[in-house]
Amino acid sequence: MTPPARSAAVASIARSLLPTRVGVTGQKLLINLAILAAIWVVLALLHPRFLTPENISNVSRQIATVVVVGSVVTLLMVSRNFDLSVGGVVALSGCTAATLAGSGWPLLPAFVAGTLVGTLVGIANGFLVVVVGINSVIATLGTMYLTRGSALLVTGGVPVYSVPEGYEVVGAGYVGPVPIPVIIMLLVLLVMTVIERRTWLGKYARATGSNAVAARLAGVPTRRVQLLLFALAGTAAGWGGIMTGSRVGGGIPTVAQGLEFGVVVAAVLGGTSLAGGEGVVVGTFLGALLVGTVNNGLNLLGVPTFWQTVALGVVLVLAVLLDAALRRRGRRRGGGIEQRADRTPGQAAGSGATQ
Amino acid sequence: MLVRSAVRSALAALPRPGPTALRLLINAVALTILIVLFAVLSDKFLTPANATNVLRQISIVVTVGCFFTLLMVSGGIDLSIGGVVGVSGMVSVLLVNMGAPLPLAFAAAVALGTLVGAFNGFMVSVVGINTVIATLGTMYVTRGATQVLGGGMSVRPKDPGYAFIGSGDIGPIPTMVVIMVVVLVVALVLERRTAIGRFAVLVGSNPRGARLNGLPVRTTQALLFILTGAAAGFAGVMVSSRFMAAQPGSGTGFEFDVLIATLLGGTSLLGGEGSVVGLLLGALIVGTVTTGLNILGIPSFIQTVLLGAVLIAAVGFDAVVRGRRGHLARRVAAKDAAA
Repeated sequence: MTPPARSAAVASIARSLLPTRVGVTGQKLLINLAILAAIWVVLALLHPRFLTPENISNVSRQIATVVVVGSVVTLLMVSRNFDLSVGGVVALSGCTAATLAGSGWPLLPAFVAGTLVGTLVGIANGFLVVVVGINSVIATLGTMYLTRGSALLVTGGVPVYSVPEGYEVVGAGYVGPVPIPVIIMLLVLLVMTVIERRTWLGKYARATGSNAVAARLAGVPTRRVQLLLFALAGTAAGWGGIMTGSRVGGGIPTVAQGLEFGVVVAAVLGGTSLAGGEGVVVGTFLGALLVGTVNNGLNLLGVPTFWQTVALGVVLVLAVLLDAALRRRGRRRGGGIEQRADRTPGQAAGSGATQ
Repeated sequence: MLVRSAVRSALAALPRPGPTALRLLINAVALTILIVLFAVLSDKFLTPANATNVLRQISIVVTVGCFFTLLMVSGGIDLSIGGVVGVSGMVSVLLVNMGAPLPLAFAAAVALGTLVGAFNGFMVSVVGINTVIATLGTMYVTRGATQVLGGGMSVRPKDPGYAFIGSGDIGPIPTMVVIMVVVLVVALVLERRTAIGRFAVLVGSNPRGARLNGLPVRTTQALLFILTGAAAGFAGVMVSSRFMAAQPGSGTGFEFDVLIATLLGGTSLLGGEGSVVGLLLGALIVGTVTTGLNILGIPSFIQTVLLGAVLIAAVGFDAVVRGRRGHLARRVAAKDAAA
């Protein structure tokens, strides 16, 4: 082996050891971490109660539902689809479970039934988008209305609070000092990260979202992938409805209004592209944590809720401006789609094999 | 014999309806069927009073929707319109209560909407941020600003003359309907008789091609954002005048109402296709359905379910029509690839 060839080989091995995705998404994650750290430091200095265990568990409990739903929706968004019905599904599944439990069903079947309602809506969404061919924003906007209206139908327009003892454990219980919703959130996050990084579903979602035609021609079952992701997102929203309903102690048909926006905001803050093909589940967690921290900090500092809405809007606009600036810089450096394609793990493995 | 051949040649001379025209035709038929249906079900439906009621109800959606449709044709979406309706209504009521004359307050509301529209246009057309996210951000900002300005409360205008726009009449016709018609005419002229209307279609169907051909891509889209913002600003005056109050939650979900009317009217989410007349038909269908169901005494949550179903049916039909053409195109492409 000649010296230049050896150094090239060493370089390629070194490259393969480096994190493969320090593209725009990686930069975004690092920046998010830095922003989070900065906000935490500022808030800790401004308010003594911020860095207490109670408050940290409070913040994580608040973002639990968004993260549970968002981790799955992120993969769906990577495959270039949206699900705007998640808020309606949360309401419908929560109301279904509460009504069933209130009419004498044992807790577990009631929870399962509520979650399955979400799965069904997810499958319906997938059918509308993949089989009928409706744009996902519109199709799920339609099911958003359907589910929201159905939640009101199921409960007759009034909240259901007559639920059996123990209903609140999932949403408001603790294991030792850790809230149960936080444990659930971390579990879902872990499972979805494994699915994203280590299974065909994650890889195919990315392929479908980046270029659906090329993916299909390369043998990726794009329709099945999208159907499965819609069903999973519906299931996650159904389970999110159980968690939310359990926390508030019953079924409230108007609950989780705007959850779909909260999820999209968290995902986009976390670096998920609205155009598909880009995004990581952990990023959505960071995005949700960022929003949750800002809200919590403003609450602690006694800022009125309506200023918080303004702050959320400003954070979102700043985040996307930053995103645009990063992407522009990437392009100017001669990067862009072509260069990012060089860095995909599949190609790195391929070039390794030829050597 | 002569008559028959004349009819036949006249029919042949008619343009063959493309998907948009077909959609308009079907919407017109659907609207007629709905009106007949409700007229049979209730004798209170087909009255002048109720017709005025429907028109007044849709006037705000149509006023904003006209420009919103053109914006969508050019490939943009503005989700901040509901927030703008809230904040501009609040500003106009607050100004009136501070003693400003009515025209000044109205102008300020429109100016505020224009400003937000200009900022949206800057973010989307100049910086290049995704249109949904950029306007989602301004939606939050404007929505929050409404509550900050009103202190989270509803503010009533002290001048009784403020009600003229929302509840007044010009001759026998409600002011709101007159405004809607004027805006419709302006938008139609803009769509059919100016370069902006033509550019919007070209920019929306192929932004790259439009740029390479030297069309003012950014200016066109930014201008449509500004017009949509201005219309939303005025809609804020209409809403606050209708209720004689600027409410902190006013305009919530307005963006969806407009979007639904636009999509029912055959406007594509992907840009490049859509028409102002289609929007009017879409708004009329939604207005007829909600008013009819109200007269029949159907509870509002069943109306929500039905609205969702109507939306899915409409876009499902759209997808099937487009899909058939897409399917053909795919088959041709596959044949080319095989050859």
